[in-house]
Amino acid sequence: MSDVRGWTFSQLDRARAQRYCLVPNVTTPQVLEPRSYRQVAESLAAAHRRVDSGILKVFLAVDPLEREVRLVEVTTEAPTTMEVLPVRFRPTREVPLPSAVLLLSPEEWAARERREIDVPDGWEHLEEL
Amino acid sequence: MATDRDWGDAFFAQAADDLVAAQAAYDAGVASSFCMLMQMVFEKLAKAVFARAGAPAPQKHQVAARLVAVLRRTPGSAAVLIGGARTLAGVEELENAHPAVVADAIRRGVAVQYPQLEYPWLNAATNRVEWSGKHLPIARRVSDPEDRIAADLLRSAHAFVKHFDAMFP
Repeated sequence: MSDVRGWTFSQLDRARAQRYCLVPNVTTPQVLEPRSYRQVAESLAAAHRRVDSGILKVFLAVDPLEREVRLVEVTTEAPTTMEVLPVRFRPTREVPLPSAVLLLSPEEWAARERREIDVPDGWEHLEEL
Repeated sequence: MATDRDWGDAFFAQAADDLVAAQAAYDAGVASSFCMLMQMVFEKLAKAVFARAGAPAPQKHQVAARLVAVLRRTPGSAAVLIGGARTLAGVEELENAHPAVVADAIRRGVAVQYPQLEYPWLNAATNRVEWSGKHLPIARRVSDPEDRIAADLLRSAHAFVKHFDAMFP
C-alpha cells in the first residue's frame, strides 16, 4: 500500500519516527541528535524507574511501525483489579514519540502469565528493558 | 428523610460522572482541567465511602488522601484496589491545590499564595498573575510522559469507581 509519492506507509512511519527521535546534544543542548525507537523506550523506562521505586519489571511492547513507545510496567504501585488500562502521552522534547504505559500489579502480571488476563491487542510482543 | 446511604449513592454517582469528564479532559490534552476534575473525583469518592459507613460526609476538601492513607494502613482492606504511595502523594497534591485549601492556609498564616487549581492567582514574588494551565506543578507533571502520575491517578480512579460497590457495600 503506497501514497502518491510511492512511499509505503511503513517507510513513511519510519521516516517520521526518525525525524521525531531527536534529543538535545550534551554540550550544545539546542542541537538535537538522532535517537532510536529503542533508545527512547529505554530512556522512558529509566525515568519511570526513578520516580517509582515499586517497579519490578518493565517491558517494551514493540510497535512494529515504531510510531508509539508502549511500556508494560509491573509495579507494586498498581492496584490489583485484573483490568488493562493503557494511558497515552503526547510527545515532548524529552520523549519525542507518542507513548503509552500499562501498569500491572505483580498479581496481575502473574495472572497474565497464566493467560487469565492479556495485554491490549498489538501489545503482545514484549521485550524486557 | 434522606439517609446516609442516599448521600453515599449520590456522591458516588457524581464521582463517576466527574471521572468520565476527567478522562475526556486528559484525552483532549487539557492538563489543568484534568487535575481539577481528578481532585473532584477523589473527594467525592471519599465522601461516598464515609457516607456508606454511616458517617456524615466531611465538609472539608482534604478527605480523599486521609481515606486512602487509612485504607493503605489496614491489612486486607480495599487498599489493594487503590494503588500505592505515588497515587496517595498525587491525591494529596491535588487536594492541597484546591483553592479553598490554599485560601485556608493563607488565612491561618501557614503559607503564602501558592499555585492552585481552577483560579488564577497573583505571584507576590514576581507581581505577575499565574494560572494552573501553565504554573501548577502537578498539571505540568500530568503532561510529562517521564513522570507517569497521570497513569497512576487514572488507574486508581477507574479501579475505585469500578469496584466501589464491592469494596464499600
